[in-house]
Amino acid sequence: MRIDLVRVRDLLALDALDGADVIGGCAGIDAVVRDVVIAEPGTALTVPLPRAAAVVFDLYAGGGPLHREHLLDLLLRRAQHAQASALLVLGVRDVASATHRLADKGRVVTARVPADRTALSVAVDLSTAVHASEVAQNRVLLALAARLRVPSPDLSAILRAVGTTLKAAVWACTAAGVVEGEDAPRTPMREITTTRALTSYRTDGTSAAVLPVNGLGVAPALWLVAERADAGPLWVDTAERALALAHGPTVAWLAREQLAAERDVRLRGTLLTEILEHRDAVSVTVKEQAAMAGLSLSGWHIGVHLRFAGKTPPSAFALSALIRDLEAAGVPVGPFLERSDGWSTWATTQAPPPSERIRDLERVLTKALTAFAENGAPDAIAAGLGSPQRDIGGIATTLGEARQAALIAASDDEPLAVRVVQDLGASRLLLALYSSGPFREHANELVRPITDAGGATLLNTVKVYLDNACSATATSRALKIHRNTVATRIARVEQILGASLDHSHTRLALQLAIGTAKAWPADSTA
Amino acid sequence: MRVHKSDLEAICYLYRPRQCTLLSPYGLPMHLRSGDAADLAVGCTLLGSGGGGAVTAGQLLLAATLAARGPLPLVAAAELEPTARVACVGAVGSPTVMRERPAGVDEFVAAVRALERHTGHRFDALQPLEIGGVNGLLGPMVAAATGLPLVDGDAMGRAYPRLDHTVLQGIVPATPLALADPGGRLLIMQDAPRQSVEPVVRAVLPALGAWAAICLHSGTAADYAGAAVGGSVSRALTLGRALARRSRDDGADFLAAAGAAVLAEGTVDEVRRGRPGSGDGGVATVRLAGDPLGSLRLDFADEYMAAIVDGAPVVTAPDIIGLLDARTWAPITVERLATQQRVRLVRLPAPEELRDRQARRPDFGLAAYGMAPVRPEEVG
Repeated sequence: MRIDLVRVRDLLALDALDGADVIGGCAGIDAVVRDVVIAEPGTALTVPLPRAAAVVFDLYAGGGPLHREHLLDLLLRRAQHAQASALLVLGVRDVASATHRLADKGRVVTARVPADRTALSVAVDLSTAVHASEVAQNRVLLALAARLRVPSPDLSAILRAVGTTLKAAVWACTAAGVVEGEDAPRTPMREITTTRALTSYRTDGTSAAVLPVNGLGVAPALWLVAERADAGPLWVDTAERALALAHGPTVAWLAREQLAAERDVRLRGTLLTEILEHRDAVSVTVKEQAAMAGLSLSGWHIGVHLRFAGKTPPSAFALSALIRDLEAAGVPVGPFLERSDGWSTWATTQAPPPSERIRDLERVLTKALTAFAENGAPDAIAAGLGSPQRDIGGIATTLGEARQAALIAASDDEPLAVRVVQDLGASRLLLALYSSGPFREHANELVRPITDAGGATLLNTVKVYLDNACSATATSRALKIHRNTVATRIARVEQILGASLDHSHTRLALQLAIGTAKAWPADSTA
Repeated sequence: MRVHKSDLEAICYLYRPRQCTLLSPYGLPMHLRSGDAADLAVGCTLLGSGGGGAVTAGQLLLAATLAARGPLPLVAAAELEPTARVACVGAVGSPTVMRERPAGVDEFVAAVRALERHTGHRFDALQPLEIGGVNGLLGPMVAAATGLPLVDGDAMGRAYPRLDHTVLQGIVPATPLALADPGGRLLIMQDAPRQSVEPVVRAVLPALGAWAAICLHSGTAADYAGAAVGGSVSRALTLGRALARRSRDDGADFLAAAGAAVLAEGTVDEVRRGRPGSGDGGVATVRLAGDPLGSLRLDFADEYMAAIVDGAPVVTAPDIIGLLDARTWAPITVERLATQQRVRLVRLPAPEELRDRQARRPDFGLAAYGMAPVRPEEVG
């Protein structure tokens, strides 16, 4: 596909002008370039300058007088009168302020080209870009293909190849944030991670091309981002093609990584089962395998359990970013192990952790999960922290406590809740009920007619009504609806249940059922 | 001051003041008096096009010498006997060092006398080597000190940095020439191809203390009448007087008297010294008054060489570029150019002799400074 209107900023992004130093006329950087001409000192005052031309001026071409810098000013004036778009000067070393000002006044982009190239080579490359942009693009893509022609390139090699070829900053991102690349893209992460097809963006003068990569699943698991400041449409088009070219190697790498992550998850799940079942009696082989899998068995452990609500829970690959965030915040944890209701891990210290350690962990985990949620993670996250326990036997205990705390956290209405087992208090009395299979089934049967009849609105109204001591006034204030609406909805619930909420037993049973249903939705597994 | 009474008395007999009724081309009486030194200094500075060296010491020497000797006859070369012997006199070398090792009278008189001895005849008149800068004052000073009349002319018509940038090239040989330094060293260059004179003199100058008095271009009055730039001294005097007696704020009276035109006004924004390639000279940028985006580019070496306004050359060598203080109208030399000065750019036309491209004459335009030549009319 040919770019019909090549602009000055496109030319400045070419290899031919790599390292060129713009000394003035930046206001004309989006001017269209339709032709390229060469000027030399002997012809500077006579060479015809077409409109919208880029003029390549070799200041020291040929013999002649030693001092010629003033010719640049004269040629700039001619370029301005001819409505040329750019003046690219070779050989000039010291540029007077008058020349800068003249370029700015005439809005003719004036750039100093490094001395290691010739006017002819620069003019040929620019002319190719102007008159046959597809040829210029193909050169870039061929260079990228050559760089990618290595067996099984890893992600950093792919990004390096793309970045070098496009002379751009490149990143690989997941829903959890940047996984490869320096700093962060200027393009907002939410825009990147909601991209579903090859797209380009422009943010604060920075152009970006974004390529979503699906990997093994249906939804994108990875996004490749290439950004460059002051790039024009030719670069953006080339960047999109370059990312498309890098798609194959990236998919292959992603598939390898995801398969490895799933394999590790299975292995660690088996190890966890052994640890939970045999506690201090695990075999030496299991201990060795656990050490190789990155699981710390000796020392003091604080269990962490995460529960996610939503249609697409994060993969082990996505959780690796969360582990990095926690480690960066000074709380290293082991790899996450998949459980039936979420993911578990633990933080280990060799010395008994001080009492404030668990508060630090709570704070860091909340911060990391907040960032995780902001980057498009599941609808709701509930996290629980267990108490410090010692050695292998303690792992089962602290993980159990963390799981209980996460269960209580999940029964809250908040999109992100972190609970520490020590803070559960009387709520722990409910754990037996919440964890009971028969009660869970009964609770879902009790709640389902309400949900079927009025959806989440009716169920939420009755929950808030019960939480507010059956006060219609307080409920209407909390939900910002009229008191009569509350009364109408409560009457309807009573009608559905066939029981009055005036009776305390009915109220208690319904409140417990709603809490259990929230912690264990009907389609979830125990 | 290095004018000694004994010296003056010794050469006093040579002084033959002649009654002269002629007026110079600028309408001035043909005598220079002590009181003219200040005006002549200003005029020489203007004709220096920003170069030619500081005139202060030369002005004081000239004033003192004229005060001691009385009025100095100013004659046109054509008014002398055609066979009368004439030579150019001045200083060559670093004006900066000349401020540290001030000039006196002796070394200049010594150079003249040495060349007289070498050629075997006495000079009948002397002429300034260049009218721009300090040499425009040293020439009259030496003429007064030696008691010889001063030819109203010079060999450059303004200031140039090289000895071979004279209108006498190819007509009156530069050699033999005499060099004398304030330490009493005297050097005669018997003969040399004309393109060798400048490099040889430059080569010996370090041994002479970076500057020396020079007497050269020994020839007849007829040669000088046909080749030299006539009326230079009286032109400098006219310019100096017109500037000193300027009565209008817009300088219209001075400009009319000088045949000059104001081309631009503004504030010096940048002075970059040391041009790529040679390391000398530089470029100044002046923000134009009344045009916030407009700028004047001023290329200079020892002198101002070219003024380019928004990419259009408005004045180039050999025309004389005067950069004047916008408030006081005092000339600003290349050495004293600095940022934030409010300046006025003035063009003074070059003498016709500098435009007359005879085969034997050098190029007095931008090529004389190693710059690619451009002319104001080439860019619209």
